[in-house]
Amino acid sequence: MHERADRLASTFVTVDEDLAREFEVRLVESSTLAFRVAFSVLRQREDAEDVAQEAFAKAYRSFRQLRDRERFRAWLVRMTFRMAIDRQRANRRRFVREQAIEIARETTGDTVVEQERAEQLWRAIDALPEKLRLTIVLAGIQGHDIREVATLLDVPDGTVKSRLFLARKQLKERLSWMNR
Amino acid sequence: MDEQVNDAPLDREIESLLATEPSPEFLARVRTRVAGEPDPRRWSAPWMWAIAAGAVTAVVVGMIAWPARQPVVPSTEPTQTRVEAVEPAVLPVVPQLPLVRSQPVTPATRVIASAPARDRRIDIDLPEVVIADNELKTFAALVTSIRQSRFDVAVPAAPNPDTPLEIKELPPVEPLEIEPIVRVAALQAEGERP
Repeated sequence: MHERADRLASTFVTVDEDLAREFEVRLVESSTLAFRVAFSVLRQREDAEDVAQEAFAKAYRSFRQLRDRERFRAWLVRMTFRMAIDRQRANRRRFVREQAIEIARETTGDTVVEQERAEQLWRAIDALPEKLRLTIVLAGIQGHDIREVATLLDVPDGTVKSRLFLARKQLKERLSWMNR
Repeated sequence: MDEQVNDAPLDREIESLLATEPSPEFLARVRTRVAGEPDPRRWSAPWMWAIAAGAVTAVVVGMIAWPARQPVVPSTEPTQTRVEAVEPAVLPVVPQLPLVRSQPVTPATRVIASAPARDRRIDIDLPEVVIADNELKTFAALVTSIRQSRFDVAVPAAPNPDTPLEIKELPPVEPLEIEPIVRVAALQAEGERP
């Protein structure tokens, strides 16, 4: 009886250790991805880190179903983006976002023209529909190619291509309109 | 091709915007946060799922098997209804009626209402019900006659359409004498009252 219990306990410990080890691998390889997805929405480091951290905590809770690497990253990207959007809406109510942009402008060493251009681009990205926005952000993170973006979004390659085409077109239109 | 060439600067701009690194403490903070989370293996063991499924099944079966409770109305005393088969009854022949049905009635059911065995008294302050003495006596007589089977309250069954009805002969009718109308009209013409 005791032997069986010990065996069962040791099995759990082994499974537990395996899970922890796998999660640590996922955490290291996906932490920057989650942070950047959150940052693309929030554009404030602290908020982006908070959201990414919370997304990892949720991922840990469901890690048994997310042990596959691709599945984990796709889930993490979607969850982080959704949570970041929610946080952004909450921030807008508190008028924190505008302050954050001001702080970022003061602390970075970019020229005024570059800052202005970056701000315009962020605004144009913000104005995109969510699907196009996430697609162009993922394509811009760490040089993801179309196949990687398609895997992360769980959509066909053709869908990513058409979304990228539409996103770029809308971005260029908005940027040209801003520069008039 | 031209589109791709034109898109390249835009893509580079976006990449540079997103090339922000998290703080060095970020990973450590996530690890600390995850350490405070419940163990993901908690609901992983198959026997735990089996226990959960068994508990859910037991609850569902219990809900189905549990008898539905009827609403209790305290002011009305419940009556026990007993249904029993009774022998075929013959309706009494009423001489005044021209049509008399004398064939036996098919077995019917008699519904007898009786008070419950246990006398459950409920103390509720209700106003006294006043019943006239004659109504009380009449009702008591009716109940007594029913109990002594002197009065059959059985509901007669519908008559069989195939059975011919017995029709009693009508009493003879004596002819009436009526004065002719012509004479009255002649008297009226002469100015006399009939």
